[in-house]
Amino acid sequence: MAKVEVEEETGGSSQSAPQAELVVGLPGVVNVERVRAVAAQWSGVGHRVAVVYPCVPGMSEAPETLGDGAGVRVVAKEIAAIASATAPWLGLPAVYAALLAEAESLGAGACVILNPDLAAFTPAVVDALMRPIRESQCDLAMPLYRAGPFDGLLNQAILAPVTRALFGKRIRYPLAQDFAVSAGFLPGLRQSISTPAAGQGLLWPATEAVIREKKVCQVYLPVHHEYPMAGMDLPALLQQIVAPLFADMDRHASLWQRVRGSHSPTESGAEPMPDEAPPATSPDPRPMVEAFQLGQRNLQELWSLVLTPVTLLELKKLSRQPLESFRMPDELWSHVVYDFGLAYRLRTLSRGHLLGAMAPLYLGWVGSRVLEVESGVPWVSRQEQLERAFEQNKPYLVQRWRWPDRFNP
Amino acid sequence: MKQAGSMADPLWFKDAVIYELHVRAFMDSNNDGIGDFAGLMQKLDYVQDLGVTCLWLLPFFPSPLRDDGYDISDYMNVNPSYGTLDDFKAFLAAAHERGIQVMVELVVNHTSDQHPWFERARHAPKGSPERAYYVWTDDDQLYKDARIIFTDTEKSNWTWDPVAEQYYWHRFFSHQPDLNYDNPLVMEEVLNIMRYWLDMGVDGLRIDAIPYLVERDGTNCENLPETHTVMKNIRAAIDKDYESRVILAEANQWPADVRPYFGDGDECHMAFHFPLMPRMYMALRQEDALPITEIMAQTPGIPDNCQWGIFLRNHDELTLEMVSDEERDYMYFAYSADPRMRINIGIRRRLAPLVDNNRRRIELLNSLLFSFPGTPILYYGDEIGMGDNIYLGDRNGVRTPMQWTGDRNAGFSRAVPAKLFSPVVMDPVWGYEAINVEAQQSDPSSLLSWMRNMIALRKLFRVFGRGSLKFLHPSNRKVLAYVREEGDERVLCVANLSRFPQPAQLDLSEYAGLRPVEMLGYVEFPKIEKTPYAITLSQYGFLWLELQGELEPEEPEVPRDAALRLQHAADWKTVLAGAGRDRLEQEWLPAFLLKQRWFGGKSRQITTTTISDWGRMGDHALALIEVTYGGGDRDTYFVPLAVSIGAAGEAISRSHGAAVLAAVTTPDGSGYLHDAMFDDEAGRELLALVGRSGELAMQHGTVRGLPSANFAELRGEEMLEPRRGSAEQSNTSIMFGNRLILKLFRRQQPGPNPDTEIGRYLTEHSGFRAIAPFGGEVEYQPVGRAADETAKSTFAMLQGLVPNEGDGWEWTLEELQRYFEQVSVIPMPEEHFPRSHVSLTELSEHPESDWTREHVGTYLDAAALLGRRTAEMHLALAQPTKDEAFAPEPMTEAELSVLRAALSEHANAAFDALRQNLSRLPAEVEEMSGLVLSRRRRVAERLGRVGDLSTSGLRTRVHGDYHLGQVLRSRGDFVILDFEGEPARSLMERRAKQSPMKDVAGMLRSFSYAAYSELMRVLTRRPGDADRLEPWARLWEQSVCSAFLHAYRLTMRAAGVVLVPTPAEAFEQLLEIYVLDKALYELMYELNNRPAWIRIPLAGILALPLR
Repeated sequence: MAKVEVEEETGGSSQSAPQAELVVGLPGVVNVERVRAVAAQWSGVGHRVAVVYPCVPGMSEAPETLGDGAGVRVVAKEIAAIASATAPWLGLPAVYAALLAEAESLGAGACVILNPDLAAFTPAVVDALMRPIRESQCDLAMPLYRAGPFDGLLNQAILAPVTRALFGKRIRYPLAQDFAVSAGFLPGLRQSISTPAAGQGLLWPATEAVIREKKVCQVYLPVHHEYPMAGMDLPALLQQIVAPLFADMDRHASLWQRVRGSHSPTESGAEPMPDEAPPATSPDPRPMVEAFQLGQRNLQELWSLVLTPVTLLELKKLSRQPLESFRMPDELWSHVVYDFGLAYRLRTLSRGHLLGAMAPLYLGWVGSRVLEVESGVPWVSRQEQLERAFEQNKPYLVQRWRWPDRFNP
Repeated sequence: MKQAGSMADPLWFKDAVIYELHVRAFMDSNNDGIGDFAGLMQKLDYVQDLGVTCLWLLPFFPSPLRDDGYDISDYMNVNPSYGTLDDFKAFLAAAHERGIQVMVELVVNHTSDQHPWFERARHAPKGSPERAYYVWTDDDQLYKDARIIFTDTEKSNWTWDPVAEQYYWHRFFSHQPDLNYDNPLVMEEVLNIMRYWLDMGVDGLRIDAIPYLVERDGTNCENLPETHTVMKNIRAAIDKDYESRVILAEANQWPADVRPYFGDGDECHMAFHFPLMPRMYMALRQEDALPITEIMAQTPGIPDNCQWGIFLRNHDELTLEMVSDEERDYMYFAYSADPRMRINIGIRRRLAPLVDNNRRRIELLNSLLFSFPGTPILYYGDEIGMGDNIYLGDRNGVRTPMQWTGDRNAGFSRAVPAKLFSPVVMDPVWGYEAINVEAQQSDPSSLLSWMRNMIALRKLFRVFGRGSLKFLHPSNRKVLAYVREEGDERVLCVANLSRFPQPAQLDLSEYAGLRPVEMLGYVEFPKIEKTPYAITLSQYGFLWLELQGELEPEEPEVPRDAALRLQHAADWKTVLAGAGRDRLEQEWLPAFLLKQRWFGGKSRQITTTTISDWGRMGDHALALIEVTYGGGDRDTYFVPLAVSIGAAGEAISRSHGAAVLAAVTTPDGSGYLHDAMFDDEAGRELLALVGRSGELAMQHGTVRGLPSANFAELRGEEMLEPRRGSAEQSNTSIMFGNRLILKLFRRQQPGPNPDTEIGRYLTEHSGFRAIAPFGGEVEYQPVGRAADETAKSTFAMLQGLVPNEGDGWEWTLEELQRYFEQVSVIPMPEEHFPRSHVSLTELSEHPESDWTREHVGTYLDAAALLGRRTAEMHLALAQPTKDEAFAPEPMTEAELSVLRAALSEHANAAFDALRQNLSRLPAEVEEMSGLVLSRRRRVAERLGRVGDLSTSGLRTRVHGDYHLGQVLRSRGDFVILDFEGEPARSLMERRAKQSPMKDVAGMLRSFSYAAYSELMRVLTRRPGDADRLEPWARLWEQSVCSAFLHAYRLTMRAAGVVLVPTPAEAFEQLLEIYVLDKALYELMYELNNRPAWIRIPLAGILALPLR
């Protein structure tokens, strides 16, 4: 193990710190020993790297410089709250803001943010994310993960299609865990999460890049993150992830309403062969469909405040389908998501109840997707079809957004 | 402690939706029957939900309340009825938390007579500083030309104070003495009051009664230059210490009179557009778009960082001050059948009652309010269609408590009804049981829901707050159509002012290929073609249509960086010779040029732009851009460039988007490449270059600063802050303090620039001082052609800044406005009727009669002075010299022959054009056009006799483009500007020697234009007065021309130089030819650009005797 030099740091400030060419930020609770161990392996790679992770006030350790000469520096930044209690893998805006600010103050040429599970904390992944920043003048490099049909279902169902339709960029993982930011985009991205309103939400780097007309690229990464979902309350999850998306939708309405069509960002890295074959094991769709049917019976009153009569009728028909033929049409699902987004803006229901009322509908969509995949539908192209449907139905959202009259078809 | 403003964007007010309310009338929290800040705080969620972004609070300060709070007795506190200062601070914080800005009202023209300052002033000795807080006199005849505003109650603007034993001045009620802004202590007190509220975090100040701040004898005491100085001082003080704060001016004046309150963007940020408001009601009632299009045509442009405030109703009466007598009568008949509805000069009614509670009309008017250029201001209660109570006194009928619910006291207060500060509206149609917030909140089809949706929709589109306005002119005048445009946002608005459905054909050919998408429902309409676009609107219907281009192809993005990457902000090699050059030449420069007012090739197709030379100037760059058009013609433009990073770059991008060429990134952050004239440092560098006779190396030439002999004197020693002029035309101006102006010549032509050439000549080689003193120039010399004068070009010229009261044109129009106001009520006696044809010699030899002088007044002296200055200029330009460019030459026969040919050619072209366009001309000028055409042969004969002139004087350098717009009125004298000649002509033509008579003719025609354009403006309001006022216009023109010519010839004679023909006949012949030529040129211009104005040159041609 490399020799560790310890320096004094006062008040978390890094004014006296040496300049870093690259800052790697780990926005959550990390295994510090492992961070040190991995970072030590990077020393002597030829450029100055600072690895920054958050720690609670009073627990700050002095920064360490690992390795001889041009080494790696490990810095603990004091931040009041480091991670969400319910979904620790969701980075808090304040943590992101602190890491990005640190990168700015160190004068970094770029900043790479990685999931604190450290699955991507390797020189190869960092280099892959950095390459488009360095070579193609990208401002933001977003990840393309090797994922199976049932990985990141909330992303597939809502986040990716809505981001693409709204902002015209086909970003596969808008709520990225691993991404790289150029020096030019650092201040803008930090500012976007430094307002009190944004502090309540999540960081959507690609959305901010589109708003600021920054260039976005996507990089194939051989990384897989595990998200411990067991026992997690679905309405709470929707509240944590989808509510911030809807809030962002409201915040940027004047921008996305004039975006039409969509473009694929430039992609780099080794694209894996598409694996369209059904997986060996899949979740049981029955309880999901039953949850949807239960919602159909019990939540009519709430749904009718949010959804249009035609959508309600379609859902009613869907709830009567036998399991084998249970399929949620893309158009119907896009209308459901858009209507909930609008209801969020208009506060038609209390926002907590609103997301709760959405949960059975989401389960209905998941059940439908599981059944489709099991039946051999190629899921990669199916996802593209769904996202296109969101794009095609965007005028429906714009129309309802601009004139939110309840008297509609 | 000083609180920051709540907005980062200094132009936030452009996108705002303002809600005007009185704390007293909004919500009562402590049940004392009077609204208060705690009540207002309770209702902030309502305001936020409505979507308004800024609250304007009517005066809430301690006051005897004899004028609804506009009589303030303590500026630093809150009226106890409305709460405490802490309540206000809590309210302010709560509003900011919701993203709502707060604007407070400052009434600083006057105070209450119970203000301690006034008490102190009354008891202080005469002439003491305490007494001088107000305006006092022993003689109430001072300022007698100032009108009385509240004619119903006040007999004089002076009131005797027995304690002070003097009269005190008050423009409003006698209990509201005016503050004395000539006293610096008053100014300091007012600034302290402003700082007090701004320190708390208040976002804006609405300043009441601005035009009346300063008084001067012999004037009407309105809009005086000294008032502008006061406003500039206030603005400077606010800008110095605060960011993103706003001043909203209340100046109930014509748009042209309000315009100066914006200054060069250094006075008020916003001002109300008062005349628009009654015209919206007039247009609706008359079912005719004309009142609106007409007032907007009279609305001048304002600086980029300023905004109009527009409104349908407010706390005062619907003011009819800014309409003609006839229009006022109409408005009274149309909107105030019951005389109780009238007060002062206006109608005291709310919006909904004015339009007979017709929902469609309310929506239509609001659609205009939300889509017109300016920031909309809503009056509380109008969003639910509240009614009024005309049986209450003064304007209290429109200031009744807000109607929240159907409960007791409309939910405004739980006090016993008798205790309310004002009764709530209770009748069956307008009463709170029928109209209230609670009911409308639960009704998705209510007016409140509609307003909420419309406000939200407006806020989605920046174009409404910031875009340009262009009216379309459908032949059906019941339909009002206009396009708002900003960047790539374009919105077409169409409104049917009629109570019946209406069709319209719109000329949208310039938008061919775009598709209108209805904005409320996002409904696609048929694509626009070159042919007229047919549209049908339901009764009082309106459409907002976003004009969308074709969807971009779904190709993956070109892997190319949108922003140019630079090593540092001054990495000009990359920008101009490296990676940036191709993109500059191919993408950025063509787009940039088309957005510049100074670019003269907008109507032509640009085929290429090339950076023909460039060099560094400090951190900036100077570039010459060669533009090639289809057909091969070329122009060269001078473009100084700068890169601004971070906040500075963002500020330029936001405030001066058209000046930005491209986005850049540097290791220090991202920013923008932009026109360096928006960078103060670049201005300083240019000035320094002149001052130090500096040289800069370009790639293919040299740039030199050349100071004049009196540069140091003009420059002075103090620090000079640069600022951009607002009136950019073909050039760009930068002012340095109050001393210098640097004029950048954008279009570059090789050869000596006549403006600098004549400026330098007159400054350094003559005693003529009625010009802006020449301070120096920046010239460019291509490499290898050092000795070649014709290869040089001029980048910029520096001149002394002349203090002035405006240019001669504006000043003359103001004089004419007063003239027509005076004579409009006087029938012209038959014996004084001016003749239709009058000889120019006769004019020059017979000065005006006493009767004429009595009516035309002192302008005659001004015209004579201008005549003398013109002659002196010509004499200075004709003095003997060895400088070939200036040495006078005789007018030879050959030259007269060339002149004859040129004039004949102009005349033929003008007559042909008039004949071809005869059928398209307005009916009222048909007869005049026919008469002019019938004179074609006489004109040809007259021009043909040019060669017969035996004495035609000398040919000298002349001004070349001489008219009233080229002179400044300065300290009772005139200063002559702009020796550039007509910009459209070649440099050779502009430098050619000509008869000085050309300038004389130019000024005579300018007098004619001034007289008739003001007449036309007056007649738009009083069309029935045409026959009565036309002779007065003619009288003014003839007498002013006479005074000008008389003085001109007298000065010439006294000098003893035969510069222009001395014999009367020859003088007349030569002048008449030039006047004729100028009038024919104007005829061509108006035919091509403004057919409605063609009457002026036609009358000019017909007035010439052509003997």
